[in-house]
Amino acid sequence: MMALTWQGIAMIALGVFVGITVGAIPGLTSVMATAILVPFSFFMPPVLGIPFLLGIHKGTLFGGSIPAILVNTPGTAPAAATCMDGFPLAQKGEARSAIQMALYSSTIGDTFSDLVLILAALPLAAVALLFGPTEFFGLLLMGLAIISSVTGASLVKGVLSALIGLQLGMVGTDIISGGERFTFGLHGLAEGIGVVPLLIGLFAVSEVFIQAEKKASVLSSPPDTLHLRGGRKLRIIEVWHSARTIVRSSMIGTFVGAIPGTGAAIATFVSYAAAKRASKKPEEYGHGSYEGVAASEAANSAVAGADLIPTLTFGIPGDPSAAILMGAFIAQGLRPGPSLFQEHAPVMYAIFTLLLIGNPIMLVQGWLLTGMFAKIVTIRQSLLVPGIIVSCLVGAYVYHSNLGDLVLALVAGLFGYGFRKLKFPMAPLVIAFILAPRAEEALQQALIISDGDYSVFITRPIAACFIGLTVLMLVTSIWKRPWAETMRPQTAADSSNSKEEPK
Amino acid sequence: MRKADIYTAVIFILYSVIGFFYIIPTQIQYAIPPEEVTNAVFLPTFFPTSAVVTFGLVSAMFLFGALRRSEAGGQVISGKRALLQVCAVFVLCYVYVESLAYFGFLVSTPVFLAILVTSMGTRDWRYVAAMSLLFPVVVNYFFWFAFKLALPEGSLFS
Repeated sequence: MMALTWQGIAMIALGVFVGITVGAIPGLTSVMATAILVPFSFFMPPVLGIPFLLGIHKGTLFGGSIPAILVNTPGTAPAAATCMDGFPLAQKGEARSAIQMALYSSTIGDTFSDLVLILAALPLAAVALLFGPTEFFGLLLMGLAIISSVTGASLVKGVLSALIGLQLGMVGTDIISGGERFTFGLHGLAEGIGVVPLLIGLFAVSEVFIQAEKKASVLSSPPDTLHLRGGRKLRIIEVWHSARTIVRSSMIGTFVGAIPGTGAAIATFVSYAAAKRASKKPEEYGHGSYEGVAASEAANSAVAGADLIPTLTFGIPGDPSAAILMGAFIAQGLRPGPSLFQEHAPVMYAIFTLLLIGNPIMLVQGWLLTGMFAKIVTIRQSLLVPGIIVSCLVGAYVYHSNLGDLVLALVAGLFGYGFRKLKFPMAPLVIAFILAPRAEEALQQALIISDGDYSVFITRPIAACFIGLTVLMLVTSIWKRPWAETMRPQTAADSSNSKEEPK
Repeated sequence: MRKADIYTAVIFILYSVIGFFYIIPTQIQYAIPPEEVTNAVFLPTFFPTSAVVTFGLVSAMFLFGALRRSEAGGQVISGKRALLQVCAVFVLCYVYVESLAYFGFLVSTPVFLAILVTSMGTRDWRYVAAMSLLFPVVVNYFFWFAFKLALPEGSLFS
């Protein structure tokens, strides 16, 4: 009953509204919106602040389909697959029905993954409760290995990114000895690098710098609005014809989303390919197929709930969005991991209930406000980008009311910009940064308990299993793609193939 | 991309060398005397050293891979104009952040926004005025009324 207060429902509705709005703006991502708005949630109790952020997470995944369909520009990276069929539909004058198909598919995919999250979280957390520090160290190591090897095109870049994150995570006071590390005499660094300014810098400020590269004439001109108007309403029979695709894509999205390091972009393209293979009319794909829109959008939104499974049960965030949400949980005093459901069961059930309520709310908002969201697509970047940078800096400031955090966000933004231009994946850095202190603590505790006996990592079966899997995964990655694009002689054609933005 | 990878790898290797020989020895405090350290407790330098050494080795592999690669034509990461624009926006943001300490949010932000909006191509004064004057006021009062949080007032005005 705790969840069903009008404030809780209002906050998830507000989050969904903000999420769809942000998603509808080309170039603004879910990660960016969540990073900027995380500090706002600190001023609310967990049952209001967390649903607000989860609502944003949901909303952006659907919102990204609006510019993808209307102006062939995906609002978010995972919506790129939606462009392939959504924009041709808009060109045929069926923009409205294409957006409605995206809305239905997103809602079904999201609801499915939320149900899986709710059903899977408790049993998984119960299993994880049996783990000691030795097992946790093995699990965290395996999480880091998966994220480094799965994310991005190059294993080396993934590993380097994770190592940078580890080193950033070591700044501050050493957990065991209490000595300061890498503070360079700056008192503000004694507690470590602030997670919120760092994430705002890496994801939001860096995006501003990417936008700032464009010519003034491009930034100040509104996008082509030729396809904004028009279209008919989607017929129920059309949704029914795509039902099988929506269910299959929801399952693929949920499964892929639950694997740390994969994320919505991979889920979307895997699901799109599977739908095309299974379709009776594969020739329509890429030329305006409703099934194509349904496949990518259902999978895309199914990741929203699924990526919280490893985050909430094991404390291993699956992607940058989940890492930011994990930061918000920690800031609210809810430490993700197996004990979360034991110590904060009422709060977690309240959050889960609101997570489910958010889906019909998204359906209603999407249905009623499609026209308004479509107009957002036309906002000029020259007005948007300055507003975003001020919002980023204000978000970094309210974290600790410290002007030093603004400098940190700016420097992290410049670093993130360089990282993205050099095609280094960002996810391993962020996740390693968050996991580094926990992995170090778990290793130290394991060794103190075993009185310095290193064999515990082999003699304890679960820990040995995790460490064995870690080694196997890294060896397989190296074997399958011999240091990917870096260790083998590569041609120009190879290098031009990997244009996908690293997560 | 190949050239950029080579430069990146060299910078990473240099960082690892500086980290190993200078930063780790000078920037880590020993709260536990080294003689009290047992097998069960690591020195505070253990993890940073392991991370820096691994980082150096992987960077060397990255360099090796980039050197072996052939890349005809060369992929441009960003043009000079684009890089200059990014640098200009960064400097402008930095000056804005520094000015917040002296002039506060309500004075610095309109000036910052007006410069940024104009430099990004919007010339219509109504848009510039609306963005640079209205936006900071709305944000400031939103934080004050919603969260009772004062944005920087500036040492010259407080």
